[in-house]
Amino acid sequence: MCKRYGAAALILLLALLLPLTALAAEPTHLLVISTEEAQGDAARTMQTIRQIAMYSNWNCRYRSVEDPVALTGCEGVLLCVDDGYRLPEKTVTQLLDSELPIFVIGSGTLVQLAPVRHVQGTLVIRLETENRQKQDMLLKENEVTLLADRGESLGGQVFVGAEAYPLCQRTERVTHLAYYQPDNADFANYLATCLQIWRWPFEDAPRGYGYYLVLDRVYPFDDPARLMKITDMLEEENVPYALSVMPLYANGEYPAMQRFCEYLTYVQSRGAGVILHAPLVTLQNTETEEIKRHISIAYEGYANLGVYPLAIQTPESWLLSEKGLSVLRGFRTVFTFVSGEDVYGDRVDVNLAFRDGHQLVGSAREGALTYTDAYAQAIYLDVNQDVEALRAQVEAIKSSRRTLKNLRAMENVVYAGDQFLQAAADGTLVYNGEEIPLTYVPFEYEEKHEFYRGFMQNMKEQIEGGNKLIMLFVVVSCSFFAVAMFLVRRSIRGELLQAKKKKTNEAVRAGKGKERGV
Amino acid sequence: MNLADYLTLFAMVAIWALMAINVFLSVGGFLYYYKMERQDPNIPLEEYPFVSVMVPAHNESAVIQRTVRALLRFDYPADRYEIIVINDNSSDDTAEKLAAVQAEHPDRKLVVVNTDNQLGGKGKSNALNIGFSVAKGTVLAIYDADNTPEPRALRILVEHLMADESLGAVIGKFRTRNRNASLLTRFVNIETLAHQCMNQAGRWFYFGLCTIPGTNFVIHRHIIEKIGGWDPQALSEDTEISFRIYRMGYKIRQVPQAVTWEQEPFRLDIWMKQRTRWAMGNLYVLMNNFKYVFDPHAGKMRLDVLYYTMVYFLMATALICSDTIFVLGVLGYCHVSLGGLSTLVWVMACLLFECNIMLTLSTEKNEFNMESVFLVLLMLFTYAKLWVVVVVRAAWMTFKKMFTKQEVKWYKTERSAD
Repeated sequence: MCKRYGAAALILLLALLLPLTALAAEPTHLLVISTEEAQGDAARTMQTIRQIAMYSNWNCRYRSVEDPVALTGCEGVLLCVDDGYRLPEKTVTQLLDSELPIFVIGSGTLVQLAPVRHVQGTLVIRLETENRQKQDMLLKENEVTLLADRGESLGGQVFVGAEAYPLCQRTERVTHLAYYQPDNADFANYLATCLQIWRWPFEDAPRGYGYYLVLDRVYPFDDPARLMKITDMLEEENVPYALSVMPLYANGEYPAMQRFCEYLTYVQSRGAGVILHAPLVTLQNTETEEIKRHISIAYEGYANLGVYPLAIQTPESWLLSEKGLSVLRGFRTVFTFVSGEDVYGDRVDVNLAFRDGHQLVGSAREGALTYTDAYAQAIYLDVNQDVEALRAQVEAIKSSRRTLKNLRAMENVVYAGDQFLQAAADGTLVYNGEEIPLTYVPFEYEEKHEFYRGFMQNMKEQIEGGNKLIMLFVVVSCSFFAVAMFLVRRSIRGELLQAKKKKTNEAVRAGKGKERGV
Repeated sequence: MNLADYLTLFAMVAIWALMAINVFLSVGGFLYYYKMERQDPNIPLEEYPFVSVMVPAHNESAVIQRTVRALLRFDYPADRYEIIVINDNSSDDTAEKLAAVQAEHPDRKLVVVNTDNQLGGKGKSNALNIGFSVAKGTVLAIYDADNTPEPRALRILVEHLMADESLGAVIGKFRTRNRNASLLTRFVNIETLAHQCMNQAGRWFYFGLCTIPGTNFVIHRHIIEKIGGWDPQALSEDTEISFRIYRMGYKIRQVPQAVTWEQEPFRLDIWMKQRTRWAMGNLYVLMNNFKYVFDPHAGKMRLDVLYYTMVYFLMATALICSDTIFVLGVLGYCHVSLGGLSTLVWVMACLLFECNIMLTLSTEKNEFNMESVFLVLLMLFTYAKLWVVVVVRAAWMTFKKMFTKQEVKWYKTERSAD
């Protein structure tokens, strides 16, 4: 009996400890301490921090300012706390006793961690990212809290009258960002740059990620001639580009789809990358397997026509849920776009995406005058715009001296259903074990394509989509029934005819009998 | 896969599996009918056994004279059978009607047993036990009070029973006398032919199994003596007795040439009560016999127990699941993501149902026509759905009866004058 209880206790202990061990093995890049007030500046800033952490592949642990903290396994602490909140004394002691670098946004908790000074006057902020982009803003506030000791500037300045102070400066332990505006695209880019520099362990500048130009949401029914003009313009401008194509699940043989894919194979042969847009999910309870199945069908449809998407484009919110991430697991490279509150699955507030090791490409913030190289971003071009307007946009991007990168120069891996694609940075592409040369071969078209619209098309789809075993069973059974019915009816008709004939003969005999007077 | 997917998968597998079984039985039934139609049903006997024809009757004034007159017209040797009508605590003029027929045929063996509410009025099984106590025949034939058997029916049944020692009982076929009374009776007529007669024939063809339908059957007296009569607790005494006959090692055979015409419920409320009683009775029998599924000595009977289990539990559950998911899906509350469930598959299910029933109707002389094609289709979406309601109602009432220890109440099907 004792042995049995002992074994059960051991199993229970292991069951409890093994996940904890696994959890402990996962590195925690940042401990983020913030206030929980949903409408506060800190909470709104946290959305940007979560986004930056996700695209930078940082694993973060989030804690409320009132909660006790554990610093074990952390590489740094980020404080984003509203004014009026204070850290518990124990947390302050823990932070000061540790040797972890601390990044403080705003002045709420700064006084607890380092000597500060308050500067008053008319405030002008100069955001400076990548030492190239500058953006000045006059603030309504007239006081700012700064670190008492001058440290290393991470970029940006605060002008108080004629005096200039670093907007974000680093002392030995504490790095302080003196001012931040939530929901401001320029500040978000600036924060991303500051955090990247703060997290960079070496003396030189951190690695700069590039931008990808993407012709967004290209449909098979877009005019190939117009698309050609756009891509010709991009080639004239000598910029690398990719196209995000919408998924199609049927009618791959239609001439429009063939022409579209011919165009895609052409641009592919000239170095463009193709990205598959994720299926549009309108029902929250759609199963991941169904979405994966649709992706697989769409991927196969394109691959059959010589187009090999290298990445997937999804709403950013998919990266925030287990269900969304489960769909994306087949793609190494994921491009995201911002799509309102379109969350697929239950939103999780920790960064789960970093576990899957994706190459994430976020959407460049619209309306920002500054930019950041802290993580890879996509600039989406609207193909419905006029070609010359697009050219002006591309020239502006070029003149901003942002680094434009080619999707084809990345290593990409795709698993879609039973399909497997591996694309190397040198341009080699292997699809289902076979090396595919991405050369352009003109398509051959039927003289007249039969569309099988209406009933015939519907039947074709029904037969393709239905369960073949059931269909076979029904066809065999019904055929047997039909033959059997025919045999029985013939037999019954024969019997009836025979009975009728017999009756007639009897009547005739009876008539003759009467005539003879019998 | 979500819950709706799992339930749909279960429903699809169950429904198609049962459809496959049904097709299999229909094929067997068809082959048996085809074979039987081509052979002479008569097997003349050197000596015909004495038969007691028992008719339980409770308030059957509207139909009893017609039934008894039909029984008197049997081409079975008149001195070799008796008719015992158990006038079971009737409050109408059944007794007077029976006395009038007795007066018309003073030379015939027509026995009327009138019971009061002390001895009788406790259901068909009890009435049959009363009839059995006065029966003299070595063979017993049972007819419901609303039946009009064809003259040769009894003779064919007895000849087949006596010709094969392995048979414990022989059943005939029953047809709907009031087929054109209402849309409901038209549906019942089709159901009777397709599911009760053809399936029975199929089960006999493949497995030597048949379930006694409660009327138009003959059985050896010694079997009833051995099993101690009919179970008064059973609401469907026919299924119950069939299972006991199987366990004794006898077979029950269907002979389609022995035909009786019976009156079917013409109103939905009557139909609902009758079918609920049948379903409750079958559930009772099923619960009492399910243990034999795991008994290797129970023989082929296990197949029947399994078949009934599939029909009453699997099919009912599957239909409830599929209909609920369909309705919720239409209302937008659930979404099925399973592949392979195209509209064509659904259409094929309808087609199979239609063909399966039309095959049965093709074996009858006046049933195979366009009207039947439409009726079968209409039946699929109306009458077939009512079956689920019946099973759920019966299950609920059985459950209530078990926990409240209510006494079994026999609902007597209301009749009308034809």
